[in-house]
Amino acid sequence: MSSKKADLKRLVIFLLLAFGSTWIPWIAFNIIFGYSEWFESGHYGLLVLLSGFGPALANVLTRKLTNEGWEDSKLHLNLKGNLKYYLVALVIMSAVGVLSGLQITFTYGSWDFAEISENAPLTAVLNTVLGTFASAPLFAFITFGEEFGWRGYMNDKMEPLLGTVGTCIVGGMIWGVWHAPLTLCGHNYGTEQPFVGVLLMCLNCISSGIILMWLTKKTGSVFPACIMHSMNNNGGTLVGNFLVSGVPETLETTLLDELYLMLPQVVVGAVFLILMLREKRLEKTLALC
Amino acid sequence: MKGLLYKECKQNRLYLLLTAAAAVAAIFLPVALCFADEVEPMESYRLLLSEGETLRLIFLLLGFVAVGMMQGLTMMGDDTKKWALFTASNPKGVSGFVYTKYLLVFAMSGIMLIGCYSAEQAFTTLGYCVAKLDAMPIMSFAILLFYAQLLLRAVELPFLIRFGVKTGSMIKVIMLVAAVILFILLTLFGLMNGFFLVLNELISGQMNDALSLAISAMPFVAVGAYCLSYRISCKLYLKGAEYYVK
Repeated sequence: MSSKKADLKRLVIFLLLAFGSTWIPWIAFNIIFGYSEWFESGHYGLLVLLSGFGPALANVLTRKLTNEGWEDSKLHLNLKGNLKYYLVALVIMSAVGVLSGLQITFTYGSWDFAEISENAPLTAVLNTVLGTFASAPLFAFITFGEEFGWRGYMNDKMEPLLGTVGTCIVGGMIWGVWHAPLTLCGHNYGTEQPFVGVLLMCLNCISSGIILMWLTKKTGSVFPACIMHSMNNNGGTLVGNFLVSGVPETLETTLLDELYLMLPQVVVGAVFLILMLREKRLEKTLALC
Repeated sequence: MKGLLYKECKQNRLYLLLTAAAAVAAIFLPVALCFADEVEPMESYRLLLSEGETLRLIFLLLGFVAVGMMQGLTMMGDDTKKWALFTASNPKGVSGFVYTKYLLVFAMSGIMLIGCYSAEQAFTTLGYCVAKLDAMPIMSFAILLFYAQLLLRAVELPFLIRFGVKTGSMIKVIMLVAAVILFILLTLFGLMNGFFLVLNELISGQMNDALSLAISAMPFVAVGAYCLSYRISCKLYLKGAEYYVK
């Protein structure tokens, strides 16, 4: 079997397992308990924790089923020489948060330094920032469940088939659709237009997936991606809220606004995509030499 | 490096397993205590879920203390002259060996934290399924303990490496006893009132800005101290080897 055929076979098996092992319990829990009861309330934390490990389980099972072995499992920390990428993983979501905060202020409010310093005294800002940076990376083991599957396996199998740009787009969409049983019930984007919510989730996953893919490729490890994902899930972007000023309290955002507010992340994602493509071109040139 | 890591994992597999067990025990022992109550076990369990955070915090603290003791024991067996000379002759040398020791100790704290989180999720889910009650989350305290443990190991490990486990542990005990005596003396002379005020603020959750900032900064101090401790241990290792008993 050619390498591409083998990759395709493994990818299909992985996706079936990843979706099956997650969607079946998620849909069942949605029916049995109701989405907000099992997912949002925190009453069934163990179910939320375990069900998020579907993609990681799929990675393990696919490797076993196809006798692939554990070469390039991306489970090494690879700290040596890669600390800068770990640092990027830590701060990138906060940088996106700062850009989002400025975007909200300049679109819906007005720059008022007096209000900013009144709403966000230095101690409060420091407490939030330090607290988030100290605690969020520790929860990277939760996001490992996703990253070990998507970045640690899917991207590797997809890139030879679809190329880097294709992997970023199709991989991001698959990752976004994987969230659908939750998104359709109101996760992140409310219940008004659930299918638009799924599309927004796909866009969100494409843009953040690019940065996560860049981190994984640069370090050869899934752990920086786990840290960045954890920073995203556990308040890494909240630092930007301190820069919001002059926004009326009655302001209600529509899904179109949500799309517009995704702009900083999309821009940052595009920058990393360009970086990734440049590095790939450079590698090709060096290989030819 | 892989070989050294494999050796550490193989040699300390019992401690790694016990760390995971300590995490589960720290969360679930209070539940076991409730069901040891022969008169009204369910009522005790309800009480634990609704108002038992102090008891749960004590067990969590005990769990971290137990893991801390095991972390010190991971140095046992490697404090011999022969091993030190063999290590120095390795391609990765002293720094590689000390690095794996520090990584192992960090991993043990990590396993404890992950174990506590997972066990706490199980505890919360069980509590809601059985008694329809929400338990107070204690993970923020576990995170603080994780960093405090890192800070303590940052101080302890260079002593264990410089003087060996036996002498190093004795030095640790002497330092602890001295600290306790000093603390008692200062308390008797009324010089620790400020400390008790701070402690009171910490427990009641009504912290002033300076205290909350100090607590937020503590993790970064701990991580910095741990990295610095590794550098110091690398420098001390061969000097210490001269004093190892065997």
